[in-house]
Amino acid sequence: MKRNFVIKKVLSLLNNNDAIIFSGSDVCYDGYLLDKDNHFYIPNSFNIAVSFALGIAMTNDKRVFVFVGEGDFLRDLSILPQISASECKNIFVVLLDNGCYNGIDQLPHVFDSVLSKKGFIYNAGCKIKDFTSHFEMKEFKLMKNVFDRLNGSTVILFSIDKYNNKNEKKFDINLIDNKNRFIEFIRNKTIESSLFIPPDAVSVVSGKTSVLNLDNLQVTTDRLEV
Amino acid sequence: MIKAKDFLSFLCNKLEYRFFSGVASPGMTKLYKNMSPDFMHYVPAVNEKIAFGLVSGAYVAGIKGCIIIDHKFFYDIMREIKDFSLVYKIPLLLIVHGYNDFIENIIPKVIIKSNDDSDSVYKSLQKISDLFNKKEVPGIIFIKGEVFI
Repeated sequence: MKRNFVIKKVLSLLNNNDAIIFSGSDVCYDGYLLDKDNHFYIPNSFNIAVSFALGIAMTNDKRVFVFVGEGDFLRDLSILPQISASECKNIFVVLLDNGCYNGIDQLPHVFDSVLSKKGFIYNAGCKIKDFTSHFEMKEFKLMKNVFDRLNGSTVILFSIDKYNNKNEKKFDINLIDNKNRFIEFIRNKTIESSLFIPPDAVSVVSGKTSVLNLDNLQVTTDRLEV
Repeated sequence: MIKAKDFLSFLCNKLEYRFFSGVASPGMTKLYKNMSPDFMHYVPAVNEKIAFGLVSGAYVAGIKGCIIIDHKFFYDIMREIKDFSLVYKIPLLLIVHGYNDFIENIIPKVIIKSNDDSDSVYKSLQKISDLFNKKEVPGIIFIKGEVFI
């Protein structure tokens, strides 16, 4: 799976009222190809993107997705217990793991040697979902249903192909304009949050969303005899 | 010297800084004791960088914020101030216990000393806050010595 394909597909699964933050020049470039008002870019990443996203999630009810490479994410792992302690239901970290440093002749990254990536993140206090197999099986409809019902604080893991970004174009955007546009989007309270879907009335059965018919529910009034 | 409660009240109610984060600093004990969820929201952070990120995110969402840290760890977020706050113009207020002469003059700063009276402290806070609002630049308030009672 190529990185730009994964980013493109995941963006198509998100809603227009989700705030999306991209960290790192490569990831920003891919996100910018599908630019929208709800995108915010941090090309010169210094592992601030996830805590910045958490700050937005704490003070806003929109879902906040942050796209980050594993090299950037692992620089400061203390964000994981911070996310866990925040108990925010609207923060999602989309972790793009290719196991190497981009542009440095695919120098291997330490995350590739970790015994269990999922266990590692889970034990740090965050939920983890791995969608790599969904991509391989091309189960995009199922993914859409799962994404609509996602509950934070969750790390969404994607294993992507190794690549070399030497030939890629440099990401170039006016950062102040980008910030002002993003602030306008975030502070716009008329855009409803996607968190207001009532989870009790909807069940996801084998990839198909079906609404429960409350009329067919049988309520038992018999009491146990003691 | 100034009462810690009055300092926070002025900061939160008058200047409207509502979101606070930071790592516990031994010199700020009186400030922590006078915090109240009635007028502010304090999030203890794992480290200074995370506190910086949280407060910057809160500003984007429309809530002015402030981080409370010790001067020993001020350099941990210097790069973030230069490359993030000043580049994107996402301001935040830093309350730093202690004082370091080596801090560069890239952002406005005021120093509150133990012999300053409450009026001069309010003036300093107002000055930093005006720059924060008008120019969207971060500001530093250095707390030198035992300022709070």
